[in-house]
This record gives sequence, structure tokens and C-alpha cells, in this order.
Amino acid sequence: MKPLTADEIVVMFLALGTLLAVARLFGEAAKWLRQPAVIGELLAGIVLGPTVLGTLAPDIMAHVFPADGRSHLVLEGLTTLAVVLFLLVAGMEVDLSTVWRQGRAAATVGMSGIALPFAAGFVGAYAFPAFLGSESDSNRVVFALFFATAMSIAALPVIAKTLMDLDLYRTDMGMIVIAAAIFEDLTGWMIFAVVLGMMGGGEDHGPGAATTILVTLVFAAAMLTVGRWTIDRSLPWIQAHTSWPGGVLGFSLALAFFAAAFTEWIGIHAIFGAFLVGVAIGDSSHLREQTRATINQFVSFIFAPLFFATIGLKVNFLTNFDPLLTLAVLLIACVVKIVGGFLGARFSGISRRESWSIGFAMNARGAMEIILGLLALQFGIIGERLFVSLVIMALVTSIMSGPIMQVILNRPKTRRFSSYLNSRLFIDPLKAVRRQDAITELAQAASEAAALEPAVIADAVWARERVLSTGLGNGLAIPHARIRGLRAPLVVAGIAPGGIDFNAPDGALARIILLILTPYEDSAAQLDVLAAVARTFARADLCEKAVKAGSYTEFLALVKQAEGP
Amino acid sequence: MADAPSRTILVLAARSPRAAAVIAEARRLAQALGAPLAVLHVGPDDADSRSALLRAIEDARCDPGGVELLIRQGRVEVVIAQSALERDVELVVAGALEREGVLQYYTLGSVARRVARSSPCPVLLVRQPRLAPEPYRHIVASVHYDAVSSAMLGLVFRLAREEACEVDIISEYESPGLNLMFGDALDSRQSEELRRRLHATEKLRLSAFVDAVRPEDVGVRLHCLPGRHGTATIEHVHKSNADLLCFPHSSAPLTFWDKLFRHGVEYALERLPCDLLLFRPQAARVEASEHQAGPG
Repeated sequence: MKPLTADEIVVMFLALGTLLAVARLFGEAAKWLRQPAVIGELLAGIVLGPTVLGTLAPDIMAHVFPADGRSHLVLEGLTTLAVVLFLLVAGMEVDLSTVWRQGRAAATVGMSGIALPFAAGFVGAYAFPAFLGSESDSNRVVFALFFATAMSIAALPVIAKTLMDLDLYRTDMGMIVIAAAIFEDLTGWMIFAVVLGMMGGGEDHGPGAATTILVTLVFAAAMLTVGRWTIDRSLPWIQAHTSWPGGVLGFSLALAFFAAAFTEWIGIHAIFGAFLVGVAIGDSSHLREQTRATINQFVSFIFAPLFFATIGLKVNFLTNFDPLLTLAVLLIACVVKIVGGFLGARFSGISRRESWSIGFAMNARGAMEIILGLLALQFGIIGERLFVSLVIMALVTSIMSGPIMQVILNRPKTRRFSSYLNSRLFIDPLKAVRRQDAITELAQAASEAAALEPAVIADAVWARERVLSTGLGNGLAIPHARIRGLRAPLVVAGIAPGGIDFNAPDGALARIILLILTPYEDSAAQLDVLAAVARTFARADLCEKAVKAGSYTEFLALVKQAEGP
Repeated sequence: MADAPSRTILVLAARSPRAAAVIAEARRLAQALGAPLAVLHVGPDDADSRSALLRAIEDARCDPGGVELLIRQGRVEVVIAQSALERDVELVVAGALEREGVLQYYTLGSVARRVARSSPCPVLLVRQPRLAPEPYRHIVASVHYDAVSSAMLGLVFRLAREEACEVDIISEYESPGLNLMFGDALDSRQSEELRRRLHATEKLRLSAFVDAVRPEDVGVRLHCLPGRHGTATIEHVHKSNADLLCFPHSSAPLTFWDKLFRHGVEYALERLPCDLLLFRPQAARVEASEHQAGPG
């Protein structure tokens, strides 16, 4: 074996540099349009690949991204490394204990969200393989199984983002969806591993199909039990005896590579090993948040863009675009997944409206679908036409789940925060400069409306404040208390242009101070008002603007604007 | 709390040198909670055991007339479950060793932990029982936002009031899926913002939750800790040098699967960083109605 020539090395770095630069650039653009970076990265590949560059300037493309030869191999090897690392990170997000603790509801939603799409996908693909883009020579059962898996997989990060945007992440419903998505992620990959195993392992090595599947399952089970346990015990030792974070990083990556080698050797793809190692490592309570973030950063900023960009190099997205097939895939995918999630949620006793939104949340496919499709393409299970359709389906479902959920859940949940405001209960500016004085001043204003002694209010609020300071960060503080004898919730808004220290986690002085009083007997009222505040003041710039409001009318207008329509 | 119905504190005593100390700790808790004390021994009912246990009760400086001695046969877990059904047991107290190895879990294991895993009522594991027990200085209670947690806080506040100790209430929150999302969709400033928002919301939730059950004369500190369930709390226990850790748990027994999937409670049970109260909801129903009747 000869070493790489200078020319080949030049081409390699030229290719890597081009891919990374264009992918990051397009990724940033996608973020700017409030879309996942993945979309931009894929587009970068499409622009650099046969679809655009290959058509406009085939010579340049052939030179930078040669279709064969040693430079091609090198790039291929690097992208395999990239996707293995990506799956390691994805695995690290699979938190089994979350699924376990969410219990039956998550399991029901997850099962139903997998079972229905899987069954429907299998039947459909088995009955109409040609229509769904099966290549004539591929195995009918394997194709149907793959299609079924492609229909049932979920994208955890996209779902998490959507829930976060809608302020549903920490709700009971949000946690059920997250747990169900984790469950589906894990199950989906296991099923796909089995499907690949059914291809009969590799051609020249490895055992037969049955053995491959058996070994896969045993390996997965061992990794999720003994492997997890061993890693959890080893991490403290590694962290104690090696330099940080080098030791843990080296350990994690080496382990992932070994597992990748093993799963590739038994006839399924290398990524499964990395994914399982990711699950096992990510589950350890000894893995520091910072280590996780470090691995995460270099993978999602360097390797993931590289990988997603190379996808576009492999396939011509224009000539292989089949509108009818794409539409069919998109329709089937949405219907089966949404109905599956909906039914699962209904079974676990969740309201109809929330069940629909759970269905739509689970519908997002994202990057996982694309990787799944790419693997199937490489293994010859599907053709390029179906691959293109799957990629488009993954992107469309990811983009649409957020807005649709917003529409479904757009209900008058609780009272709006602005409805608590009152021009007589607005103090601008506050005279106080200290926390306790500010509370006294606000309590003074509240006392008339509440028909209570100012001292009673101030004492209750101050007692509350000492237990847990109410500075929320971003210049907002919400001293509050439940008051005996109060009839209805009461909010006094005070503006302190100079800022008052309410001990906020970000260290910023509070400039908007909202005194929130609720009836003692009604603990739900307090939650309602506080939730309304949290929703309204979620945006960092609101406080900034509100301080400069100048009058009650302008303040109210700003709050109303922040609340949205 | 004189008007509250007196519910029994049941202490599990083996014939070991530690028995007297465990009984002494239980006596202290019974006094603090104003509850009658019963000593349960599982084993043969002969004169020998009886005299040994009576001696232990005496060593623990209990009033012999005020303590009920029960001697039963069978598997300890089953006996406890039966006793809890027969009488109104508020709390089972048992002595436990500090750390449980894997082998112990899969073989016989410590009796106290087996009881804790399966008991239908709250169990308090005492790690270092002393013949001259001292009141708790610092209680850490981990809560979820549910009825079991409120009931547990009811017990914690009663104890805290009597023993005049500090109470830290902790809510742990995990954020699965966020790391990947941060890389994909946000820059680090945005993700920092999101984390802060998550924390602020959590803080509000916790304070509203605790406010609903906190009696006015008990001071508490609230903490919202990001991290794996169980881990962050135990870290806090170590840091704050607390001597009682309280976890709520459903009425379901803890099984092998909970250990496998790392249930936070299992994590605490295995490590036992200090005394551990595992609170179960059977007592919760009574407690909750009591609480509603209480302030008014």
C-alpha cells in the first residue's frame, strides 16, 4: 500500500474544507430562518453535489469530490467516522431512566407510535413495493421491513426543540412525549439493526442472518445492562486518575469505535455499536455535564455538518425527485405516525386535544430518518428515488410539527397576565433601592385594593422572599405570597430603573418588580398567575423595553404585545 | 399535633448489638411525632429472644410499659406488610449498613433494604443508630409535584418542627434531548438563555408547590437542581452535611428493573449517604386529609 500522494492529500483537504465551510454557512442561514441547521447542511451538499455543481461544472466537482479512487475512499472513511460520532452523541441523549419513570403513559404512546406506523408501513410496502420505490432486485420482506421502520422512527432533538418553543417541555405532557420519543428512537434503531441483519450479514465474512440477529440482540441487551453498569463504575476511576477531560473523552470515543467495529463485523452497521455505547455512557450519573457538552460540540459543529453535506454528494436530488412518490411517502408517514401517537395518548387517558398535539409532536423525523435512509441506500435496500423522498419527508415533518402544534394548542389556557394589571397598581419609578423596602412600597400600593393592612402583606411576602429569593434573571423579580383574607389575585407592577438586588441566578439587578398576591386558600391561583408571568416574560428583551415604557399605557401595550394574539 | 390520631411507629429489631441503638432512635422519633412505639422482632418466640429484646428496649431507655413488643415468624417483608395492614403504622424504622454491594443485592441483601424496597408504608433507614440519639440537624427532602410528595412534606415538617432542624427541599429536573438540540438549532447564548428559563420555571413551580403545604412556623430553603434523578440530591446531601434524606415513592415495590434503569430512589438506597426516609402513599391518604383538616 502506497501512502497518499501530495495530490490526493490536497484533494482531501480541499474537499473537507469546502464541505465544512459551505455546510456551516448554509447551516447558519437555516438557523437564521429559524429552521434546524440540518436543513442547511443538507442543502450545502446538494449544491456541491451532482444536483447543482455537477450539472453546472462537472469538471470542478469531479476534481474536488472524485467519484472513485483513493481520495474518494478517504472521504468515505471520514464520513463514516462522522456518522458514528453523531450516533454516539444521539445515544448519549437516550435516557432510559426517564422512560422508566414516566411509566405506562410513555410506554403506551411510544409503543403505539411505533406499532401502528410499523404495521401500516409494512403492509403498504409489502403490497405495493414497486409504487413505493423498491428496486426490482431487492428482497420484498426486507424492503417492507425497512419501509415500516422508516415510518416509525422519531427525532428526539426536533421534538425537544418544538416542545421548548411552545413552553411545554417541562409539562407532564412534554415529558411523556420526550420519554416516548426516546423509547421509539431506541426501538426503531434496534428494529433496523435486525432488518440489516436479515440481509444475511456481509457477503464475504460474518455469520448467517439468524446468527447476526441473535448476536445483535444479545450485544444490545448486554450493552444496556452489564455495559452500562461497568461504564458507570469505571467513569469515576477514569476521572480520578486521568487528566480531564482528555481521559473521559478518549475512553468514550475508543469504546464507541470498538463497538462500531464489532457491530460492523457481525454484519450490521458500525453506527449501532456507537449508538449503544452512547446510551450506556450517557446514562452514567458520573458523566459530567461538561464532558457531555464537549463531545457534543465538536460533533455537532464539525462532524455532523460534514456528514450531512456529503449526503448531497451521493445522490442527484433533481433527477431522482419523484413528486408522486414523495407525496405518497409524506402522506403515509404523517397519517400513520400522527394517528399512532394520538391513539397511544388516548389509551393512556390524555385529553383529545392534547392527544392530537402529541401525535403531531411525534411526527417529526429529522436527522435520524435521513441516516436510516442513507444506510438502506448503501445496503441496496432502497433506490435513490425513495431515498430522496424520505429525505424530503424528514425535512417537511420536522418543519411542520411546531407550527401545527401551536395551532392545536392555541387555547385560552389561563388568564392572560395583562388582565391582572391595573393602572392604579403601577408604580414608576419605585423609590426603594433595597429588596425589603421595595416589597414594603409595593405592599403599600396593594393594601387599598386588597382592603388589608400593608404590614400584613409586606410581612407575608418578605417571609416568602427569605425562603427563596424571587429574582428570576433578565431583570425580573416576582415577590409573591398567599394572603389570608384576600378575595382575588392581585398584581402590583413596579419599575426600578436603577435596579434592585433580588438575588437572581444571573446576578442581574431586578428592574421590573411584580408583587403577586393570591388568596391563601386558592393555591391553584398562584400557579396560574406565576405561569402567566413566566410565559409573558420569557423573552429577554421585554424587561429591557418595559423599563423604558414611561407610562402605564405603554407598559400594558408591551405586555400585550409579548403575549401575542 | 396532639389532636392527630396516634399512628404507630414500628421499629424492626434483630438480635444484634445494634438493636438497642435502633430502638433508641425509634423512641426518639416516636416522641417527636407523638406516636406510640412498637418493637417488632421476626424470629422464634422463645424466652431467650424475649429477654434479649426486653433488655434492648430497656437499654434504649424506653418506658417498658409504653412499648409494645411483637414477635412474629415468616419472611420479614411479609410480616411488615401484615403488621402495616393490621395496625395503623405511620413509619417503619430499621437499621441499615452504609453501602450495599452488588453481591448483596443479588444474594440475600440487607434485611432493612429489602423491607424498604417492598414495604407498603414509609420506611426510615437509620445508618448510625446511637443509644443516646440526637435530633436531626438538617433534613433534605426531594420532591415531585404530586400528592405523595405533599404528604411526605407533612411528615417532614412535623419532624422539623419538633427537632428544630433545617429543611432543604429539592426538585431535580432532567432535560433529556436538549443537548442535541442545542447543537442543532441554537448558539450557546441562546441555549444558556433556555437553560435559565427552564430553571426559573422550575423555581416557580417548586415554590408554589411547597407554599401550598408549608405550615407558617417551619422555615425551609428551596433548591432546583439540574441533573440525573437522585444524583443531584445525593450530591447536595454530601455538600450540606445533612443527616436525613427523604424521597417520595409510589406504592409499587422497587424491583430489579428500578435498579437496572437507575431509579433515583434505588440510587439513594444503594449508597445511603445518611439516614433515608422512603415515603410511601399508603400513609399519604390519611396524612393528606389530616392536613386539610389541620389549618383552617
